Parts: sequence; C-alpha cells; structure tokens
Amino acid sequence: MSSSRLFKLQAGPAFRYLIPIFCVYAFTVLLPLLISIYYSVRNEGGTEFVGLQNYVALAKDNDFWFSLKNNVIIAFFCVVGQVGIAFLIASFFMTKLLKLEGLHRIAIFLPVVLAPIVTGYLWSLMYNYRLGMLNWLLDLVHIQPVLWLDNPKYVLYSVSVPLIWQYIGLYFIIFLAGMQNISKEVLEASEIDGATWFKKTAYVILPLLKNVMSVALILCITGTLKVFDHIYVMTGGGPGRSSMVMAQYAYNNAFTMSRLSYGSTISIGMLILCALIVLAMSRWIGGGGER
Amino acid sequence: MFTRNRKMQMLLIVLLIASIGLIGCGKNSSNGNGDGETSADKIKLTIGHFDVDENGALFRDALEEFRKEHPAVNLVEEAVPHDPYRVKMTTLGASGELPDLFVANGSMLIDYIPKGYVGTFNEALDQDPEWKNGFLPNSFDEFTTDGKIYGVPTAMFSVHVIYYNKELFEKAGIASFPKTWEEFTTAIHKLKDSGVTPIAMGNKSNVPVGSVLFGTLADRYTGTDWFKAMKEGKAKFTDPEFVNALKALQDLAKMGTFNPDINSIDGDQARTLYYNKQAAMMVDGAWAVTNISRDAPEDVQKATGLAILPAVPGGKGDPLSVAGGSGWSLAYNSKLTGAKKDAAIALIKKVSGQEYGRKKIENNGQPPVKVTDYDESKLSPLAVDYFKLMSDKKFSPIYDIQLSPALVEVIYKGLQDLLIGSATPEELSKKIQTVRDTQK
Amino acid sequence: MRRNASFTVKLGYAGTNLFVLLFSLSALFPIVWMLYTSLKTNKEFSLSTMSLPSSPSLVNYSNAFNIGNIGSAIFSSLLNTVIAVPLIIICSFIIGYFFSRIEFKGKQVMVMLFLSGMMIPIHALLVPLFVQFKWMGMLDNRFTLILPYIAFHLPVAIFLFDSFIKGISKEIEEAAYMDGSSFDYMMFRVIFPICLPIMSTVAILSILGTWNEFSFALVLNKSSELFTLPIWLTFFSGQYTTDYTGKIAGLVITSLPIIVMYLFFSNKIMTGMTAGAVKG
Repeated sequence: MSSSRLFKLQAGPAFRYLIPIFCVYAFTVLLPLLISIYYSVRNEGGTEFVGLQNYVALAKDNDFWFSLKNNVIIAFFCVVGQVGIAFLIASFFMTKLLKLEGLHRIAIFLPVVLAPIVTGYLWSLMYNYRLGMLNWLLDLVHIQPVLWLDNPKYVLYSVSVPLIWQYIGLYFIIFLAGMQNISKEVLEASEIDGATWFKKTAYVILPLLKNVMSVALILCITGTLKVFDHIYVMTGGGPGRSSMVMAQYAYNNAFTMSRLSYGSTISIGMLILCALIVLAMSRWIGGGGER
Repeated sequence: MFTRNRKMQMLLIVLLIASIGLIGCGKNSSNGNGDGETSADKIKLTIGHFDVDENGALFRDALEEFRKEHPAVNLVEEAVPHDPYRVKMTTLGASGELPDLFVANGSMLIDYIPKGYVGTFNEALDQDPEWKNGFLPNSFDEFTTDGKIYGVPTAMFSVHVIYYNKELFEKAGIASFPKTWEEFTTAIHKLKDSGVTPIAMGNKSNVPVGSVLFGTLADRYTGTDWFKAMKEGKAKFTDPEFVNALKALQDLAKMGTFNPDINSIDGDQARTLYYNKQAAMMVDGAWAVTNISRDAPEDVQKATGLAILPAVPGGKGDPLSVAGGSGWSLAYNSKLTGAKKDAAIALIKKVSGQEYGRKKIENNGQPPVKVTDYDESKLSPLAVDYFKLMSDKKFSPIYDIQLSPALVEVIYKGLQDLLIGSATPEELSKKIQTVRDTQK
Repeated sequence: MRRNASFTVKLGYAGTNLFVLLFSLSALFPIVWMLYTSLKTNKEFSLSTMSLPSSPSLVNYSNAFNIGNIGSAIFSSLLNTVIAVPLIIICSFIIGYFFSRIEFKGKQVMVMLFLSGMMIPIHALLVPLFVQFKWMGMLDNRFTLILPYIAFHLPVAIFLFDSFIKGISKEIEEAAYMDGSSFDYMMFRVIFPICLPIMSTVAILSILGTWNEFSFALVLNKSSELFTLPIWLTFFSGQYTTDYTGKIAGLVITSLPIIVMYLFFSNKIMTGMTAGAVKG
C-alpha cells in the first residue's frame, strides 16, 4: 500500500531530473527528427509542399523493399548468430566445467571495442580475393578462392559475419550479468535434482532470463535494422544493390544523389517499419514480461 | 549522507548546464580572443577542398605561396578527403553555410546555382582578358548556366585512357593495339589465354567503370548528339543505341575481361594489378599518368602504351572522341563582397593561371590552360605520350558531370548489377529511364 | 553406470572447453593479426598475408605521426569521451529509474519517444541537426559534439537501465522509505550502486560510441584543431590508398587506446558484474 505513494511522481524530482534531461533529448534528437519529417513532405530543393507524394513514391520503390528484405535477412542471421551463440557460450560459463573463464571473457568481448569502420575494413581485408586470410585458408586445403564480396550469392552472408563476430561479446556479457543474478539456490537445487546442462539451461536459466532475453533481442534487432557503417566500408551496398540495406539506401539518396527529401522519407519510413517490427517482436516475446 | 545526494544532484545540474552553456560561451571566446585579435585587421578566407593526398601537393604548395604573397589574408583550409568532402558539402549546401571558396564539380553546381549560393566570374574574367583567353576552348562548359560562369576549371583532361602493357600484348601474340572492336575482343581472348587479366579495374565505389569506361563506350554507340537529345528529353535511355552499349559492357564482363574482384577493390588496388603485370590493360583517367609515372616499376612504365577504345560496329559515335572535359572547378560563395571577394578571385587566378598551369604540366598534370613555354624534358615519357594521344581527339560528355547526381547513381550502380549479371541491359535501361522521367 | 557417467562428464568437460577455446581464438585472431601486420612492410604483406613480420618495424607508425595533428585528434576524442560518458550514465540511469519505478501521466509517450531514438539512423538527422546548430550558433566549437553524443546514446542506455531496474525487488526501496530516507537518497545511494553491472555495459557502449563517432564530428566541426581520431583516420587512409600495412597501422592507432583501456579495466568490469550478483 505504501508503495503507491512512494512510486508516484512528485513535482520535485520531476523538475530536477526528468524534465531537464528530456529537454536535452528533445532538442538534440526529436527536434531534428521533426525537421527531417518536414523535409520529407517538401519537394527536392524544398521550394514547395508536396504532401505524402514522397511516401507514395517510397511505397512503390522496388529498391527500398529490396533493401528492407536484405535488412530482415541480416537481422535474422544476427539474432541467431549474436544472441544465440552468446547465450550458448554464457550458459557454458555456468557449468563450472570451464577453465580460464576470465581470459575467455576478455577475449570474447574484445571485438566489441573496435570501431565499426575498423571492423569493416579489417574484414574487407580478410575477404580480399587475392590477399585475404579466408582465401589463404581455402588455398591450404586446395579449394578455389571465393569472391566473398563480389558474388551476389554470398555477399549478404559475407557482410553478416563481421557483424556477428563483433557483437557476440556484447550479448554474451549481458547474458552473463543476467545469469549471475539468478540466485545460487535455484541453480543448486536443479543440480541436486540431477538436471543435465541442457535441462538446466532450457528449463531453469532460460525462463528466468526472459526479461534479459527480450532486451537482447530488441537491442539486436534495432541495431541490425539500422546497420550502416560496416556495410558502407565493406561493399557500400554493392555489387549493384546486392547488399543494399535501408540506412545505406537513405544515405545514398541524401548524400550521393542530393535527394535530401527522399532520403529523409526513406529514413522516416525505416523508423516506422523498425517500430512495427520491434512492436510485433515484443508482443510475440511475451505479453507478461513487460507487465 | 544527505550532502552526498545533494552533491550528486548538483553535479548533474551543473554538468548539464555547463555542457549547453559552454557551447554558447565557447563560441564567443573562440571568436573573441582565439584568433580574433591577431586577425582583426586580416581578411579571413576559408577554402574547402579535398586535395589532401600526394596528388594534391602542388595545389597545397600554391596555397602556401598565396599566403606568403598576401600577408593580409588569413587563408583557412577546410580540407577533408574526397568521400567525406561530398558528405560535408551536401550538408553545408542544405543550409547555405558553404566556405568562401570551394572545389565543386558540375553536378554540385547544378544543386547550388538555383539556391543562389555561388558567385559568377563573368565580370572578373572580362576584366582580365589575359586570364580569360588563357583557358582551353570549352573548358567552362560544365560550369556555365545561361551564359553565366560559376566555376573556374582546375584541370581539363580525358577521363578515358587505356593503359596497356606492350610486353604482355606481345607475349599473348598481339602485335599492336587493336583498331576494331572485333580485334579488341580477340585480343582480350588471347590475353586471357596467356594467363593474365585483360583489363584491371577497381569499381568498388561504382564510379570508375561508369566514368572512365562506359562513358566513352556509350558514346561510341550513341554518338554525342544522342546525349544532347536525351538531355533535352528528345531521346530515351531505352533507345536501342544505349541498350547496345549496355550489352557491349555486359558482354565484356561475360568474356572474363575484368579482374573477378572488380566490384570489391578500389582504383588504387586495381592499379597494383597492372603494376605487377597481372593485368595487361587498365582503363583509367588521364590522372593515372601521374600515378604510373610515380609508382609503377620502371619496366612497366617503359612497356606502357596509351590508347582509347576502338570503333564499334554500327556505332553512331566518332571513334576519335573520348569522354573528358573539365570535371572540377573552383567556385566562390555569393556572399563575398569587397576585399574578401578580391582576395578570393586573386587566389583562384593563382591556381588557374599560366604559371600554375606550367607547374602542373611539368608535374605530369593536365591544366585547363594553354601552356606554351613549358619544359618538356620535365615531363615523364608517359605524359608526352598522353598529349600526343590527345592531339587529334575531341571530348564527349562525362556522364557523372553532365547528369544529375540521382541519375548518375542509378546508372553507375546499375552498371555494377550488369557486370555481375544480376540485371539485363533491357531491365537496366528501363530503370534508368524511369528515374529520368521523374526529373522535370 | 558410474564409469559411464564420469565418461560423459569428461567428454562434456573437454567439449565445452574446446568449443569455448576455439571461439575465443576466433574472436581474438583477427585483432592479433591486425596488430602484427601493422609491423610489416607493404612488400612483405603482399608476399605473404599471414606470416609474422620477419623484421618488425615501426615505420608505418612513424609515418602516421607525420600526417595531420594526431596529438590534437587524440585529445579531442578523449575530451569528448570524458565529458559525455559520465553524463550519459547519470542521465540514462535517472530516466531508466523513473521509467521502471515511477508512475506518471504521459509515461508511455515518453518511453515511446526515447525508444524511437534507438531506431533512427543517425544520417537522417545529420542535415537537420546541422541546420539547427547553425541557427543556434553552436557549430565548430570544442563542446559542440557533447550534446549530440549524450542525446544519441541515451535511448539504448535508458533501455538497459530500465530493464535492469525492473528486475530489482521493490522491497529494497520500501525498506529505505520506511527508514525515512529521501527520494534522492533512495535513487542515488540505494539503487544506483545495485546497477553497477549494467552500468559497466552502458559505460562501455557509450565510450565506444563517442570515441568512434564519425559523421557528426565531420559535419558539425570544421576547424582542424577540433578533428577527432576517426576524422584523422580518413586523412591517413586517403594518403595511403595502396599501402595496406600503413592503413592497418592507422586502424591500430585508432583502436589501441580503447583496447588498452578495455584490458586495463576489464577486471573492474567483471567484478562489477559479480558484485551485482552477490546482492541476490
């Protein structure tokens, strides 16, 4: 009963904390966003109001939907690759079988600290047809070199791998922090009951981490739907449009093609689609979780 | 305990206010006492350019000289490499916050001129006939709208030159550079059989193939008249001559003419293939004369010959034309007046006059001015060859300079699709025409 | 039966260790490769991509220090990070706390507005923000970048704090409230320390974000003394287009400070996380 008063907003804290911070955010993010929406309903050059014309063009734009499809595919790979593998490895850390835990933790997290452009450039060197590490490895086992970034059939996989490689550590750390917050008694009880690693992970840890899992999934999906830097450095969306993603498409329109209005339209469209996807996702992950 | 909270809270508020406040105050202080006092009586002139690499040394030296000659001018360079430069200029252009002087190409000017951001040169040029008459014919074409000149060219060159290795040609059993399209494709097959890549190009940014190869190839098929008609809306990209040009490019790719990683490496990496004799030809702009003369091994330099694409069967274009012209110019902000404007014009004269032209040509460059008294012995043999090659050629339009950026991106990105076989020439031509139709 | 069981345990033991070991190595190797390749000459690199440098040389690095003003670039990056990151942590903690604990009108809308910040591609806001900053006279200044850096890192950080605080039992505050402590005391002295594990995650993410940010740094500032490290890197790579090892050295220079910092603090980060676990 006492909690209801305790957790009601009072004027003091609101004016001291909530409002100033929100104003900073509104000034730096929301206001530009409004300006961006304003651009999207004007013609190129900004001379007249064109209503939703740009949005109609966007809805008909084959290339935009194609890049959305690429985004969704990359997001799928990243959910499986980043969140899935990270969870698996974090669960190994709970088995007490692992030696050198500390060193592994440091190593797995290390790629996270690199700048996206550094990762992108590093991997484009590794993918290099003539000098790359991957073709060097293939050569050792006498396999023909592969055109990792030139072949439209593989390029989408090729650009996903560095993303996965870089960010596994982040989700790994998030899971590990979550798992270490599970009370020891619960885990010990399950061990006494003779639960195997699989059973313990699937039936004890996973349900308790539902909240953490949904955080990880939403971070991963929003992150990969707006992915830009890696793709920009490695392929620029190419060859052709094979690895084009929405953010790159918006960038090309605004900065390469000088179509600021249409570029803004793409970004707003992207924001709406991302919001819908995330909304659907969080509904699906479980109504109860958010309360 | 209580004081700790207060501290935390105060810290937060102070930091927030400070971070906003400092921006405002900092502005004043940097204007007020930063460089303000020393340059109060100086004319501050900002210049935006992207000549930050080795090829830009000459330009930077000229700016340095200008500083010495004009102690009253405080010349501030806002230089970043080419790709970020374009992003920066788009952003600045969106708000009219352009530097006093800046390097711009024709298609950037198309964007700025209607907004009234750029000043004209007509008056300055008319006042100084010596300067005006020093330029090569047509060198102002790309920067002129309705008779008004908005930019002074910084170079005039062919964007299409085929650099080929005579030794590798001989080894493959090709006596001289092919003169017909049929001979050209036969040569490509022969080169391929001899184990080298026929043509090395780096098309990661999707500009090179479109600019240095396709522009000229398309002109061979369509002729320059078609291009002019297309700009006036009287010809279409779906016309058979343009589609044939796309087909010819796709056929070249299918033949295995190019290095397989053409779309994932850049121009410099492609040049390395040529330097290492892994490739028999490379197609590049005239600027590569400078690169080869500086970076290529001696034997490759000696073996290098220059050529252009041969005539194509049934082509309407002049086989002696190459895509070229003056791509980049120096423009000035229309806000400039009085002494500032005079200083700006003086600087532009400095980097487009006879003396700079002579230096440029002696450094294997291609100035936009007629240089008569240069020392030919300072030129690399390749540069001499280049001027010989160009003596009977005329320029056809460069796509990425004459067309709007949106159209250029669609064509050039589409060419990548064509090279990897994920679009047919017919599909691509329709897509390009759709974008063309949305413009005016 | 018993022997069988111990065999599975051994297999599980070996399997787990091997799997994680291979994984750690694959995470580590590209970075190690980058470090040692930067000590090779370009010629050596083109002859053999993978080999260790036969005679390690620092020539790539000495070249790097001749280009632009790397010292001032490091200083700018450092300054931005040092000012922005603590502010990001405090602000996002506060908002996260309000979102997870306090009921108020319009909270749903505010949550939505902050969450939408996670989905905006920053390039969409580049031009509008520039126009706005120009209008406010806030361009080209030592502190110009601080505000965007704080604001753009808030959404993810708030999201992390919010979901973490939701997992903390409310009884802790109720007990404190009974003891008569103020709102501020509760928030900063009771809950803030409990958030240490997620705080380290937020800290890392925002340090990386501010240190590596490129687009705003390019557009909002123009004076060369305000260039940050990522901007410097583009100059560097513009200079060495064919020099792979030179370029790699440039990558190392931008990454090394942050790698060293990470290795230095990794112990703190890890203990921070277990500290959260102890509280149960």
